[in-house]
Amino acid sequence: MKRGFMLTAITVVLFMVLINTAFQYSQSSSAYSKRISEMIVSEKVSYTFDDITEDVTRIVGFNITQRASDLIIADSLPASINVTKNLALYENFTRNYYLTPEIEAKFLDKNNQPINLSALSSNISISPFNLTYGYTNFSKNDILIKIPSSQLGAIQYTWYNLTVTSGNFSNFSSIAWNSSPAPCSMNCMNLYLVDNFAINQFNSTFNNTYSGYLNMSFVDQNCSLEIRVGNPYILNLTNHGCSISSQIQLTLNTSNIQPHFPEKLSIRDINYNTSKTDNIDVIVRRMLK
Amino acid sequence: MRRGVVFTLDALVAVVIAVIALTILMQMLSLKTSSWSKEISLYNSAQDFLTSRDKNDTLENIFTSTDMNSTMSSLNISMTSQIPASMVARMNITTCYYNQTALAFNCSSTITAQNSTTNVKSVLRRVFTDPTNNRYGIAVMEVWYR
Repeated sequence: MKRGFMLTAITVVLFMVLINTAFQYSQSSSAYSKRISEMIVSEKVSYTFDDITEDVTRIVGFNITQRASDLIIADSLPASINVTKNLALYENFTRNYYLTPEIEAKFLDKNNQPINLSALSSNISISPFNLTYGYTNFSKNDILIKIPSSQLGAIQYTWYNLTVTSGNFSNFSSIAWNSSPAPCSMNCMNLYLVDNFAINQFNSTFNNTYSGYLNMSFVDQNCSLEIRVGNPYILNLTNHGCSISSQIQLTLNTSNIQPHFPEKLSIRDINYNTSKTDNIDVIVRRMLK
Repeated sequence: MRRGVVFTLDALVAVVIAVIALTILMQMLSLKTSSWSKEISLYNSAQDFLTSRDKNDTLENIFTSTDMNSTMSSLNISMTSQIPASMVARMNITTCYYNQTALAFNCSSTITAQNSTTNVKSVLRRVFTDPTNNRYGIAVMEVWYR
């Protein structure tokens, strides 16, 4: 009788251990499933974020390549499309055709207030130098590059290669700075201006602290451009009716560079309340040296 | 003594039942878990394919395609070669252009041939654009196991 009770007690204990094991397994399995589903949702959110970011870069027309610590920004002036209108259409399209009901997208300004994508800034900031590259607006009739004077030393060399594909210059030898820059040995900038047929070329090297503007004349009075360097802009190019193809190369003191718009994009999965909010990065083509 | 044997036998039967129940429960849970891991593989394959097609401009080139059948067929071939052999995929492409007069998007859709035969599948969307010509598109890729 006593043995019977003993065996029953052991069996009951074993039975309880089994139930507990099943319960623990069920708990950890559902926690795992929850983690996996959250992982998929967060991947979806990040993927949607990157997808939209990539298209914004394409619409705005930034063409940025990085080779080690060299950043090359290729651009053309003026804009060939109405960027602001295209951004508005793109936002309309993504909201009506792309985003599924559970995904919410918001564009936010610097103060995290919701904005329309068409209100996107026409300049980008390059981290970590707070270097800005942009235009007065997306008509792209100018190029403005600015960096805080305390960060000037971060740029080891700058090349401004400008090809004027329309307009007719007078003799390039008549182009000159308003005050001659001193010879440069460190932290230099090089301005190379050439016409479409490479007949007229102007080449000048100066220190990045040099401040001046370029005197130049045009045979074709329908087109002209102004170039200024020095505080506050390291390049202030204003275009009056010319077609310009520019390639600006900055050799920086680090390869850890990320250009981004000051505005943010926030993507949220409503069902899981998983979200990603970050600056709208400009997609950079990274090349091997 | 006889009563003890009865109790013991009764308890042993209970343990056998419990073990069977536990095995069935674990089986069901592991099926659920493997379904999630399968979905991750499907999702990653679809993501890789769509991202690479967008970055190499395959999707944007669809806007200028004059022979949609051949474009979809070459997409189908590249899907077959890029996704794992154990998976099947199909893609639905919707291209739209903005009609300036009607102030609305005019869209058309094309789909590749395969049909899904299983419930475990992953669906991924990618938006692409040709801003120069006010054209916008959505690629919806469905991937499932054979």
